[in-house]
Amino acid sequence: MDTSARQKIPLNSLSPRQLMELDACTRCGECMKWCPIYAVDRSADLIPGNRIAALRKLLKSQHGIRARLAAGNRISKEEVERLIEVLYECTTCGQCHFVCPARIDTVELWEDLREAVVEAGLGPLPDQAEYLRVLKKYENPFKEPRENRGIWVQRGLEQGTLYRDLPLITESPQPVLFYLGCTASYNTEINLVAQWVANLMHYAGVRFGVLGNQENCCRGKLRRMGDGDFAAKAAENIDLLNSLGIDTLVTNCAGCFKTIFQDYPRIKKINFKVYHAIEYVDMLIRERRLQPVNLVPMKVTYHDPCHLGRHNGIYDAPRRVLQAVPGVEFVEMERIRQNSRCCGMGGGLKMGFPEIQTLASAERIREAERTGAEAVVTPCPTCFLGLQAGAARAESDISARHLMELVNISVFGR
Amino acid sequence: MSPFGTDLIYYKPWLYFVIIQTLGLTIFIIGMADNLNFYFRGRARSFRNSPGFAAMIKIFLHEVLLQRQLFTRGFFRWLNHILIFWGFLGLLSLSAIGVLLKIVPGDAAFYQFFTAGSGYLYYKFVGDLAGLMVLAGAVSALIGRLRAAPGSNIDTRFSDTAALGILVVLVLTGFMLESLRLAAAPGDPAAQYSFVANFMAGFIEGGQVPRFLMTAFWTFHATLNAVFVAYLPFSKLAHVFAAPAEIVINASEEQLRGDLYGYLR
Repeated sequence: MDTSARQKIPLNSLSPRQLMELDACTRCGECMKWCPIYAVDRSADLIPGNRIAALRKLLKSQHGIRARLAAGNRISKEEVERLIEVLYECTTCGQCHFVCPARIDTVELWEDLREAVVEAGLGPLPDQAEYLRVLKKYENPFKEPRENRGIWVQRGLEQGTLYRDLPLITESPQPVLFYLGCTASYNTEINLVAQWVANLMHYAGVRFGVLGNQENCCRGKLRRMGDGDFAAKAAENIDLLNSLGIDTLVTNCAGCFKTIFQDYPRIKKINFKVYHAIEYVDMLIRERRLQPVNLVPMKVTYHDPCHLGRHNGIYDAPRRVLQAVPGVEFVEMERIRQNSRCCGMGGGLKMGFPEIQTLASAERIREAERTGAEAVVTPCPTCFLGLQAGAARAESDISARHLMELVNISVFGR
Repeated sequence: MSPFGTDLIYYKPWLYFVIIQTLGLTIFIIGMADNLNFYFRGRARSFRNSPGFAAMIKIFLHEVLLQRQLFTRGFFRWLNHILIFWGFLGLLSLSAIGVLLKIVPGDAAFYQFFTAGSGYLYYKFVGDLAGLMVLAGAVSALIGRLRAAPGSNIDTRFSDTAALGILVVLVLTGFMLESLRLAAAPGDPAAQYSFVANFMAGFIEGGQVPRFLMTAFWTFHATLNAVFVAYLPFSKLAHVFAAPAEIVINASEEQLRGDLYGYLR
C-alpha cells in the first residue's frame, strides 16, 4: 500500500538550503561513528546519513520531476512509517553536524523536517503527541495545575533550603527575571537546583524576581518535536516577557535557555539579555560577588549538555565554575566539548523511546567511570536526571550531581 | 598532433559522439533543473543572519579547495577525496578546453597554443596527472569501502559503489585509449608527457591492435562519459555542487565558531 502520494510532506517549513543539504550528504559514514543513538540501537536506518538518503528519496518522489514520473509510488507505507520513526529516534544533539565534512546543519534540519511531517499528519509518534497535548493543556508536561507552579518558594522557605523570599516580578519589578521552567517548578529534586541558584543570586546581591504561577512553559518541546503551534505559543511568551521591563533573564534549564536564547529571537524580537544560570554564576564569581570558599573534596568529571555546548558554544563557563570550587579535582572525559556524548534526554527521544534514552545515558556514565571520578556533574537539570537514570541502569558507583549543588556547598558551607 | 588528431589512426564516430554527449548533457541539465526546482520549493529562509562574505571566502579556500575539515577526520580520507576532487577538476578543465578547440577558429592563438604550441604538452601531462589522481583516489576509496569491516564507520550501498566504479572505469578506459594511440603510432615526440599512457603503451607496443577495437573502445569511453554526466544530478554525485554550497552557507551562518572551525586556529 502506498501512502506517500496521499500524505505529501509539505516543504513550507524547509529552506532551499535544507533541501540542498539532502544532496550535500555523501553518506561518508562519519556521523555513524559519532551518533550516540546509533551507538545503542544498531539499526542502520538511524545513521544520520542514511536518514538523509531516505528523506531525499521520499521528498523527491513527492516533489519535482520524479513525482510526475510516479516514482513516489515505489515508496511503501512501511518505509514512510519507519522513516518517521527514525526521524524521531534522535535527540537532535547536533553531534552529526560537528563531524559532517559537508557541514550539514542537522539540528535545524531534523527539527524543520519534523515540523513538515507533523503538518502532513505523519508525526509525532503517539507517546510524543500525548506529551505535547498535555503540555499545551496544562502548560507543563506533568499535568500539574498552574496554581502549583509557584508554591516551591513557600515550601523552600519552610524547609530552610531557600534562604530568602523571592518577589513576584509582576508585583515588584526587578531588573532580572529568574525563569525556572517546568521541571524545576514541579519536580521537587530539580526544584532544589532552582533554590540553589536563587540563594547564590541573593548572596551576590542580584536584584531579581520570579513569575510564580504566571510563568508559562517555554514551549521549547513543541519546537523540538515539530509542533506547528510553537511559533504562535512562543510569541505569546515573548510578549509576556517583553512586557516585564527586565534587562536580563536567567534560567537554570538548558532547554529553556536554548528556546529563549536561540528560538525566540527568530520569531520576535526580545528586549532582554538571556543567560543560563551557570554563565551567570560564572560571571558573579569572576566579579568576586560570589566566592566559593569552602572545600568540596571530590574528584569529578563534567558532562557538556548539548543545548549549552554544541548548540550555543558554552563550554568554558561551567568548567571555570567547577575549577573555582576549592577541593574539587576535575578530570575530563574522553569525549568532551563539541564531541561530548549526548545523554539521550533531548529532542523528545525520552518520550518516544525511553529505553533507548536510558541506554544512551548509561553509555555516558561508562565514559565518566573511566575517568576514575566519583561524580559526573552537569549544569543541566534534564541531563542530571538522565545521568541519574543512566547510573542506575549501568549499576555504576558514580553519582550524578548538579554543578550548582557544588557551588552552593562551597559558598554557603552546607 | 592535436588532442583530436587520432582521427588519422582509427575511425571515430563523431556523429554518435555529438548525439550521445548532447543526450547526456540534456539529461544532466534536466536533472540539475529538477534539483534546483526542488530546492527552491522550500519557503523558509536559508540565511538567518546577514551573509558573512569574509567567512564564506575563507572557508571556501580552506574547506572546499583544501578540504581541511576532512583532514581533521583522517589523512587517508582526505587524501582519497582531495585526489578525486582536484583530479576531477583537472579533467573537467581539459574537457572544457577540448570543447573550445572545436569552437574557436583555427588561427586563434588559443587554438594554436593547444594544437601546435607547448599547450599540447601541458594538455597531455595534466590529462594523465589528473586521471591518475582520480584513479588513485577512487580506487583507494572503493577498496576502503569494500574492505570496511561490518560495524566500521562506512556503510556502503550500490549507489556508492556505482559512483566510484564509473569514475574508475571512465579513467581506465581513457588511459587505455591513449596508450592504444601511442602504441599504434610510435615515435610521438610528445608521448613522454602522457606518462601513464606511455608506460601502458610499452606493454602493447609492437602488437597489432585491430582498428575496430580502438573505435569500439573510444565509443565505449564516450558513452560512459555521457552516462556519467547524465547520472551526476540524480546520484550522490550531486554533492559535487551541493556540498561546497552548503559548506560556504554554513560558514556564513556560524561565522567561524571556534568549536566548529577550531582547526583554523
